[in-house]
Amino acid sequence: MKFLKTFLPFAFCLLPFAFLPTRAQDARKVIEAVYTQDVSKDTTWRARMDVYDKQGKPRSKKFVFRKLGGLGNSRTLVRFVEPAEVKGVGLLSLNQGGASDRQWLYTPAIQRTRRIAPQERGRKFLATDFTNEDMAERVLDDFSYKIVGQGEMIEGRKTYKIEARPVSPDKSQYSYLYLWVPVDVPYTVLAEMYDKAGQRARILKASQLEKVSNVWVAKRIEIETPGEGTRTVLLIEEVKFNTGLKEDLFTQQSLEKADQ
Amino acid sequence: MFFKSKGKRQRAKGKSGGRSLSNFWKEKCCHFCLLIFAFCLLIYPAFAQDATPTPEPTPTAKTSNWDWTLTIRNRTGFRLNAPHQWQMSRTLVDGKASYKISDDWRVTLAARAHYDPVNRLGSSPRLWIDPREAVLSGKIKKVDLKLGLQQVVWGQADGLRVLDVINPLDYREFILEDFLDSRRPLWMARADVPIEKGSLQLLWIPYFAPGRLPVVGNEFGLGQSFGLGLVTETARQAGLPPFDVRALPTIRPAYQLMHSQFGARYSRSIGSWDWTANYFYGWEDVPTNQLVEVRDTTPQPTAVFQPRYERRKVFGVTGANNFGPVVLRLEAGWNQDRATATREARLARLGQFSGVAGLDYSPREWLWLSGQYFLSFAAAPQTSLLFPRYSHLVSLYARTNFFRDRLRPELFVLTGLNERQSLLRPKLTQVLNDHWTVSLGADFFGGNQRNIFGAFRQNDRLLLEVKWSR
Repeated sequence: MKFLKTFLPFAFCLLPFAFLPTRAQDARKVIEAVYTQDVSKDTTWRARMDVYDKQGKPRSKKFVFRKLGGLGNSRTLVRFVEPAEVKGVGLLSLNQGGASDRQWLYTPAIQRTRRIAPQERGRKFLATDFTNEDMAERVLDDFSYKIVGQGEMIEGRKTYKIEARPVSPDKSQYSYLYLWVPVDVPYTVLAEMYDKAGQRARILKASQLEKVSNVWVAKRIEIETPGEGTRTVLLIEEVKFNTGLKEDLFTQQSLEKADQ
Repeated sequence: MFFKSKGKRQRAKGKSGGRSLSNFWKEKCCHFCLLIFAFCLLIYPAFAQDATPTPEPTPTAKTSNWDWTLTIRNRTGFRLNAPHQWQMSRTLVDGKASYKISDDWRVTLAARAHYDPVNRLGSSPRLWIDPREAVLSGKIKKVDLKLGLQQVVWGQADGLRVLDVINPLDYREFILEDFLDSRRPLWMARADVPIEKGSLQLLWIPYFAPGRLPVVGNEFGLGQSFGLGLVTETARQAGLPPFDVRALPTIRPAYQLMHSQFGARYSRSIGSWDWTANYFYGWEDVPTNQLVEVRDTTPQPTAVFQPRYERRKVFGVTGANNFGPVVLRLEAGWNQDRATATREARLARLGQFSGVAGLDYSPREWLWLSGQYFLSFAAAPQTSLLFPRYSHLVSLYARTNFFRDRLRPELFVLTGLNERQSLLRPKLTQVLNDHWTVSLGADFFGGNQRNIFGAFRQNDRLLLEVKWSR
């Protein structure tokens, strides 16, 4: 009895840690919930991207993002609306298995659609701090997951801290990532990405979480590259789901309608 | 092709008689260093400016049916060869407004105000307004319609025209202006009809419109009728006795329905390839000069040429695919019955093939490369042709960027493989902020004077462009 009185409180304190190593399946479920919480058929958002250089000078680009289809098999169309220099530029991607399979770029300055090669995962997306891998849909099976912490408060929410490691080096530019996912919201609110040398390459912070049409959305996403002293802020001004986007919007012919 | 070369170039024989190649490049290098220095001075203030972060916006939904853009540019060119003088100082104001009538229908209007007080290119010395777009676009069932004044671009090639022949060009700045600016918009009806897994584009242009051509004495003039300068230079270099040239008034098609132009393009993806098949029945945008008589005049004979616009019948195909990080672009055109000069000093209607193969590759995040090989040949043996049967050109375009895409150096090189001619175009662009851009570039021509680029080898220029847009 004395043993129980002494040991039980201590045992309860250790309980979460005792279970951690065996909760790989739980970690995967948490991430799976993040990836599958958006069950919409189509998505449209208007956003602004502020790209800050080392001196903190920003350059802004506004664009409309449209997506048709679900995880792993979708079509996306990004159309820039500001500044005038890039107005009307459109990027059409056919995605399969979480990666851009085929891409076309329409440039109003030459009034032509060009086939472009999907770039390497580690390359910067449009001179921002996002890499192509950061912008692409992640594939659940490309990583193994482990819960390494629990209870850290971020933006007033209790979170799981999950370590994600690529199942093979060719699946990611990173050697591992730490992802913080709130216990009550299936969304990654903080991510730290570590490069092959083990250095922290990028930090992503998602905030202003809102539930729109039953889908959780972060209206502000900031990504920072500590090694370069630069950062990019993505601000979602408007988001809509299931508006009935049609397949013919995601064609080369449609891409050439710069006002769309 | 982007210039009417075959009928106007002379067979490459004998020495060029021009500057030596080493001197040519030495001179180009000096000019380029000067250009870099001037540009560094120019952009310094942009780096010295303070950081002023913009506030984050409050979420707003865009509701207006109106959309508009305004661009004000000044393009100033300075001759690097004697006489060292301003070549142009073109101020261009481009306004574009678009009104959304409904979800499917939209009307777009664009116009350009143009003023060049230097007036050495051949455009009006006064302010003139040029309508650039007046289009009603919409959808009936699944057919996309675009009716009105517009440009249509076909093809896969950069800087070279094989199938991009729908709109005539403004040649008063030669081919140094962006094609979007130098294409002359045409009134036409365009329909894009989805068929199976592809799309059929149909065009009808109910009239003929010529290219805008420089005249004698203009910076990029090529004789009394565009291209005649090459003919006389060819004759001179071939050792023919000297003769005067006279061009009769150009014969151009009347505004009649029978002079309409038609085009059709079917595009579709097969496997991972993007293919198009094209046909255009239209008009050449520069006249062909036909020798009609040689007059016995004193002190030397006079060759009389009759410039005339000819029909253009082009069949073509394009293809594009990416193989890993490399994109392959193909474009080929067969120009049926093209007027071609023969040894008997007459024009024969012969088929002409033109084709481009291009590769795009980005080996590094900061570097983008594009190379092209261009081939054209006439469907006749060399023995019957006055000019070389084959033309081989290669081009290389390299682009990079620094400071998060604020500073963009570019280089475009085009050179002939079987005829000595080249065009070298370095350019540095500095984005000052969301509205202001300034770029400094140069255009260096080289080669034999009987070739199209060599003909302008005394027209090297430095070009400054300042642009404001919103």
